[in-house]
Amino acid sequence: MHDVVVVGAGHAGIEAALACARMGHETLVLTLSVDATGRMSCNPAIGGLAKGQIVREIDALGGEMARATDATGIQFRMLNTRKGPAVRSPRAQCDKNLYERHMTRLLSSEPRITLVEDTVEEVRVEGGRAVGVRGRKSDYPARAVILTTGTFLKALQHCGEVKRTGGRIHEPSAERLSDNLRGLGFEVGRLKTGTPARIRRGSIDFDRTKIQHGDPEPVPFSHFTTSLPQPQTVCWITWTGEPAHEIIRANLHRAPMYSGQITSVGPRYCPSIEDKVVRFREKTRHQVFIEPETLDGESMYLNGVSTSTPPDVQEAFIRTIPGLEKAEFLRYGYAVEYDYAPPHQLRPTLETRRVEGLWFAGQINGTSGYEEAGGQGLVAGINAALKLEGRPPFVLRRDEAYIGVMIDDLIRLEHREPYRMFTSRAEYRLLLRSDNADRRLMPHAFALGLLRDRTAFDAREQAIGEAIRELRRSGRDAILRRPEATIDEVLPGLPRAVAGQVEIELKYEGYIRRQEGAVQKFRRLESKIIPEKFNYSRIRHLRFEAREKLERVRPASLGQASRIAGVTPADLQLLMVHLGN
Amino acid sequence: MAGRRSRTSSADADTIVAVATPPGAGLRAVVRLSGPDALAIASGLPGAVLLRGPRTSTREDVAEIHLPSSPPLVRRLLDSVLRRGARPARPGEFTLRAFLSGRIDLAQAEAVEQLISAEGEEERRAAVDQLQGAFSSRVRAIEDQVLDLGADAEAAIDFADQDIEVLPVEEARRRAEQARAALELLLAECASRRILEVRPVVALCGRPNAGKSSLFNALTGGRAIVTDVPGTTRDVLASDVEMGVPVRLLDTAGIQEAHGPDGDAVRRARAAVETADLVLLVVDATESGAREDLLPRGRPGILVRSKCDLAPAAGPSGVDTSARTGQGLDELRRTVGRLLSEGSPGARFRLDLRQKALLHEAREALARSVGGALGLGMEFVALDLRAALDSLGGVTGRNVEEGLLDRIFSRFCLGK
Repeated sequence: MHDVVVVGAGHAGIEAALACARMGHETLVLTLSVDATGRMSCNPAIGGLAKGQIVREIDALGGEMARATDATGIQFRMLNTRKGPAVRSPRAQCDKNLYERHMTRLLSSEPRITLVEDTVEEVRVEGGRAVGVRGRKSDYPARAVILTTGTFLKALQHCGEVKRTGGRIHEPSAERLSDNLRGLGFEVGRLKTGTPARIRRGSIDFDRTKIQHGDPEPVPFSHFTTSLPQPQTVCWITWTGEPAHEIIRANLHRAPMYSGQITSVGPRYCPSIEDKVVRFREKTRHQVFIEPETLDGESMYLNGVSTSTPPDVQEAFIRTIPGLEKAEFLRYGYAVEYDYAPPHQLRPTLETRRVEGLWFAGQINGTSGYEEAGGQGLVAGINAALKLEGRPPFVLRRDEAYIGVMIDDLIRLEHREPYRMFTSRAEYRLLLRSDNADRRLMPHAFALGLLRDRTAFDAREQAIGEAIRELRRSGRDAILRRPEATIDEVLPGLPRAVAGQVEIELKYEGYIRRQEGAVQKFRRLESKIIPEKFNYSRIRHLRFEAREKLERVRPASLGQASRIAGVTPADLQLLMVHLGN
Repeated sequence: MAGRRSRTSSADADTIVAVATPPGAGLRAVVRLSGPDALAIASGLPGAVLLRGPRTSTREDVAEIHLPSSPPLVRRLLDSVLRRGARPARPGEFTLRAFLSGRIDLAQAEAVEQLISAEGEEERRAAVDQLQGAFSSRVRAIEDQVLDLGADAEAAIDFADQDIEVLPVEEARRRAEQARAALELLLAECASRRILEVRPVVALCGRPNAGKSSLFNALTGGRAIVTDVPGTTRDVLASDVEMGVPVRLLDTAGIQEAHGPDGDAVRRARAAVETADLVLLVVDATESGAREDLLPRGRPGILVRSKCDLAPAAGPSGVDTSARTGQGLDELRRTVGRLLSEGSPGARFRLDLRQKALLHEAREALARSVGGALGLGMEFVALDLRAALDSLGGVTGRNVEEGLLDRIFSRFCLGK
């Protein structure tokens, strides 16, 4: 019998399993295919706006995604460098094969992890508690179950008129598990996502494209990385034009999203090329990034033209794009539909409300993105471990981490499409920077036992504090606040990891203070706890709509209630009075 | 805007005066003057509030004189104002001036008109609702402006790696300034509207001998105005007191006395309860069957048990008080203050202190966003726009984040 069983070995499953194991629990990872551990189903890249912050947070909490990216990254770029530090985000292309190998090796060598291939068909529940899972080959009893099923629940791929089952190209589907969840009383929905074609490198005329270099001095993702081992490479940019758009328009009736073959909802922020052409008719060209999937391999990813049109249409329109006239297709683009469980059914720990000892993380919660999945996997894993130990749960607040923003959004909002992180979702964006993820979250990791030696951390904190005091005392902080001034002019000789933090904290002090003030206000509302079984019908005058929403979401605090769409300040007042009395 | 001001015709050179409050309905009367001599005429009068144009309801100089709603007092004041050169306004003339000056649109003008002439309480309510509708559509229009700008600013941050047109900082500043000016104008209008300026009304009601009057005296220290409305002998007592926020506290005749000789007084008491922002239902703790469901429908209320020094405290909600020992009075003040300071749930008057504060916050945030664009960068402009949207959203009830994302996705073609 294992302590924990994790179903799925994707980006969520990996972080969940590693957290459980590193916190001392025997962990079984069940996957459809061991070879596909940590597979990048879509874009061979990690990070980007807001997502890069999540990866840094995973790193600060002792997770693996940042280290794996550093170990396998072949092009690093810091985004938004022309703007301030609050909105800078790291992004890296990875060699997807190296990434899979890195993760497989890591899971296989982790002392308390066992990696087994099986298709899970059922969560075993006794007396409202998860007691393990049943796979096709065997039963797996466990004290905690974490489902990280990605796009594999009743997965159906569409490529033009052709449909086939499977969560990823050439891979199977888990056909029974979502029916089992429905049988347990869970609400189950359906979402859609898509991926573009992969083209043979040798068939591309790069002279007709624009080259995109990585940063000359690449910055690693992880706090712990000292050097980046892989050689660095470049990407290329080209554009679609009217000829491509005409072909797509003429063949819309053969695109599953338009023919009615797919009815589930895809993400607005990640539209297929057919969506772009239809919705933005006035745009005469769309950008296409040509990104290598591996350092030296043949497969090139066409970022920007995800599609589910039939192969002949894909060939026709892609070959009108400069540089891709002679494109040879290694794989056609496709759309995939899959089952998910709307996340209002979860607690802030990602444990389900319905079944104790059962956690959901990643795309099963209606999210998209490796980074979003990884962050959830980590939180689910940590909380499963804590629960086994009888320790209090671990919940990140909105003012502490993007991961906190994400989970709070997931459990309290209505979702119309797969959830993706944006910096605009974080109201305390200035505090949740990628440069201070380590300072924000490493103390949690020390307390949880996911990171051990805090000597270096404490020394750095002390140095930062001293430098700030010194500048204040001498009045040089005022000089630093001038837009063009730098820390090296007012206090030279500080180590880089210290100087950067001192500069940001003093330069943006006014804004940071104001956000901190807002956080105080926010925390007061957050600290007003609403009992889980609170009877909303007891509140006279509460509007019907508000009561319905509150009963559905069951917010844990007044703060959470305040962020539910359809709950007005007047409703909150009534609620506050009732809680107060 | 400057062009519209010239629509005020020269025929309006008179200074007009009228009682701005509906006759007999309130406890305080407001006499309003508008026109070139309004300030000169009213200056020095007790209770006068002077508002210089054009940021007034008519864009002219306006004076408001606040006084107890006592007909002899009001008559005396009107006489003296007329002697100083004002002329009585024709029915609806204030509204007409506001409309002609471009200050309000026709729908609002009609609503104001109805508000002034409405006799029945129901009609008055409907008129207020319409006015509010117009008000919130104005707030929404400003919110839309800021949302568009916010979406542009956020897109420039969140999709910096994409092929989208980036908003120039100069344009962001210009548009933020536009929104700020629009809000400024709206605030100026609100400030002169009666419904924003009147203290919230808190009415004590309950059966005869429930302890209302003792409680009233304990809360006011015995200071009361006896409102004198012709044709009645007993009436509503009122006093302006602090209960966390400034309020007007009313002591009404008992609900059960409707069939006695003072039927008219009781009718007025009921009207007072109906217009109150908050009702304190007083029940005698020594009596059994003291029930919360006596609270008037649709009104926010607090159950107050009186004479608790004589009875064991009990009951799941409400405040236990004793006028004799002073028990529970502070708690009652706090509860009232809390309810009113953040808006009165269920009340029809939505332009309350909370909303006013939110609009002020929004204005300040917009002003900061104009400044932020100067020195720092787009993310700081975005931050202040966001703060402005949070405040405006508190008034309109719109969810900022979804509003922003909806706009971003409908305006920009994004994604891999």
